[in-house]
Amino acid sequence: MKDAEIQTISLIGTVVLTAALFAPVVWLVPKAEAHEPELKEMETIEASLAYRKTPQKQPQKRLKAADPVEKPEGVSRDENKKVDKKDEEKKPKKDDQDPLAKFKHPQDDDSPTGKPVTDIGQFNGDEKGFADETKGDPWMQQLAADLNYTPPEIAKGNGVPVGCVRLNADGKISDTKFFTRTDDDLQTAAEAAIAGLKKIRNDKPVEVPTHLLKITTRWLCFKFNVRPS
Amino acid sequence: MFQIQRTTLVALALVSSVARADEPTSGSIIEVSGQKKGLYPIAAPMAPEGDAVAKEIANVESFDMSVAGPFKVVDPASFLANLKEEGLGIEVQKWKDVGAYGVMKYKVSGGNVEFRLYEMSKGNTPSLTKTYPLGKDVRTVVHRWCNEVVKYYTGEPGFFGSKIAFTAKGKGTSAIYAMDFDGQNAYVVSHNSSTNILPSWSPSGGQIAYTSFMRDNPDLYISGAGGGRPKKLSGQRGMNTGASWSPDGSKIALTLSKDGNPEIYVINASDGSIVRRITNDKAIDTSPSWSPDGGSIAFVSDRNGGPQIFVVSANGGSARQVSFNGSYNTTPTWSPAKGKHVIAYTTRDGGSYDIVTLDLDTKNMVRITQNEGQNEEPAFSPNGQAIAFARAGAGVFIAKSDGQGGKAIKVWSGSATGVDWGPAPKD
Repeated sequence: MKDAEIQTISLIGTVVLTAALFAPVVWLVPKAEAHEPELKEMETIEASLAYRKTPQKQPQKRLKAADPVEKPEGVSRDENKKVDKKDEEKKPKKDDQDPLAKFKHPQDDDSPTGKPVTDIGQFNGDEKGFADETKGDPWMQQLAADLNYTPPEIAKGNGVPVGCVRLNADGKISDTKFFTRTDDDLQTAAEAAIAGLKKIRNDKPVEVPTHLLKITTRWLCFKFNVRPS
Repeated sequence: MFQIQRTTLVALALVSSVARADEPTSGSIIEVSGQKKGLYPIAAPMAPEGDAVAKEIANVESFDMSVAGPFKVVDPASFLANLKEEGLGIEVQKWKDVGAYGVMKYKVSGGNVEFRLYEMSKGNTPSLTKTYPLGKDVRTVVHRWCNEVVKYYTGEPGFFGSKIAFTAKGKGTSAIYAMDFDGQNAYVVSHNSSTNILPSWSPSGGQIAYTSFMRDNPDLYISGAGGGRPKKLSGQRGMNTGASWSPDGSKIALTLSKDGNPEIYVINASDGSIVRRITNDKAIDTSPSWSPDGGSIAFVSDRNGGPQIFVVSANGGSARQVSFNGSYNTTPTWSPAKGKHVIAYTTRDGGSYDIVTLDLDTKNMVRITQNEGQNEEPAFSPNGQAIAFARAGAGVFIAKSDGQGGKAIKVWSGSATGVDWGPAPKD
């Protein structure tokens, strides 16, 4: 083949290959944009905060049963007979020792090692419960608390804005977006809340727990309701 | 061949970048329940002209909105907007970024001043626009505008442009003064060298009743709100003190001790004749205050021990005690806020005197002052959103009546007592 023919074939080949590669791009982009999730398709996470009510005595967990009265073993029926001290002091054989003993910590058992941080179902003073009874993941609850969504008392509007964030694994907010805008004071309050959250979390990131990464790296949305006062 | 390779590489790079794009395919929702509370951040930037008039307008706007009740004024130091470029317009995002929900703009031109209120939620279309002729009294014009803004948000007009009367103490004497609510334009009402105390505005705002010792006995006088020669209204033997006008202005409740013991009476505002005796108790009954609906009178009595607040029908009858905190509660005054039954009074807490409000329906108490000197004799603003009171040796102060908004603002310096807030100004 002559050089000119080679050039022509080469050019045609380039055009065909380029068209073949760009066509899916052009087709896929709007398709991908159209795949913004519908709110109704989203999973709802319970992260509502528990608010302090009248302090109530919650059922207390028994940390350890009372020690039973030790009775010496043996064939003798005389309960007052002392056990041979030699047996007590006899060192265990090497094979009898717990091979995992060095991995155990004093806290591994349920012995009271100090004042418990809190009791189940009680509040820790932050107006945010963290026991099972208070529902929700603590990390999510803290995230919702950091939003600090408090519209002014005379704020106008009845809308429910939906604002979303995406977080990196390190806890920083990479992106924000509003899926539902209400164009009232509540929207302004929601935007301020999202902006405030972004500042808090980007200034002092709180690492995302591994089990939540799947959620936080996609759109994590807040539905801004107003609680009656 | 080189051309093929380069084109192919570019195309492959594009495909690759699209493939990495993180388009959302699903998401999660957290239900957030916020509670409406706190103050509405509003910005009152000075017009870019920056001359004396522009400064005065911005200052009056800022002061009015800071004492208005449900608002807080955004600190001008935080502004990000280019005010010169914006002019009367607005760049919404820059105001959102500083936390403003509302922005008040104005422009002076051709002897007029045009005001605009923007709400960030409504973009760059003003929610409220007013134009006034700008005469010599710039403050009055700005007060009118701020009243419109408060009315827009709350449905109730503001109290800007109203007046406060009080007793200013001198050496061995005291005089009745009146001034604008913000402490401007103070003037003397009682032109005598005697002791004059306990002023009370008539509902129309045209008259002030006060007790004067100008003829030795504490008699009740009425004068025009601007001062002038007073007319003696009640000269019963003994005390004629603590006047409180009925809402329709036809009657006055006051303390008379003509029979020896101080009791609450109602007299005609036109001639001072006694209409009826409200209390009849061997204890001391003083400081009557007529409720805004005209049906009740609050007063102070020590019938159960120390001085406490009682409420009785304006037609008389048995009184019920409504204050139970501490052992010393005096000088009650009713809030004019519609649909509410709230009184403010002076309470002694330990060694200090403070102002509190009490909702008679919910029994909810709100402390207005704390650890800020000796505070006494409260008076509600015409819309009930603020309270004026006297601080011993310091002057007259204004605070928000919901207890929010931090420290009270001093509007008059000096030794003052007996504060009473006049009615809302008429347009």
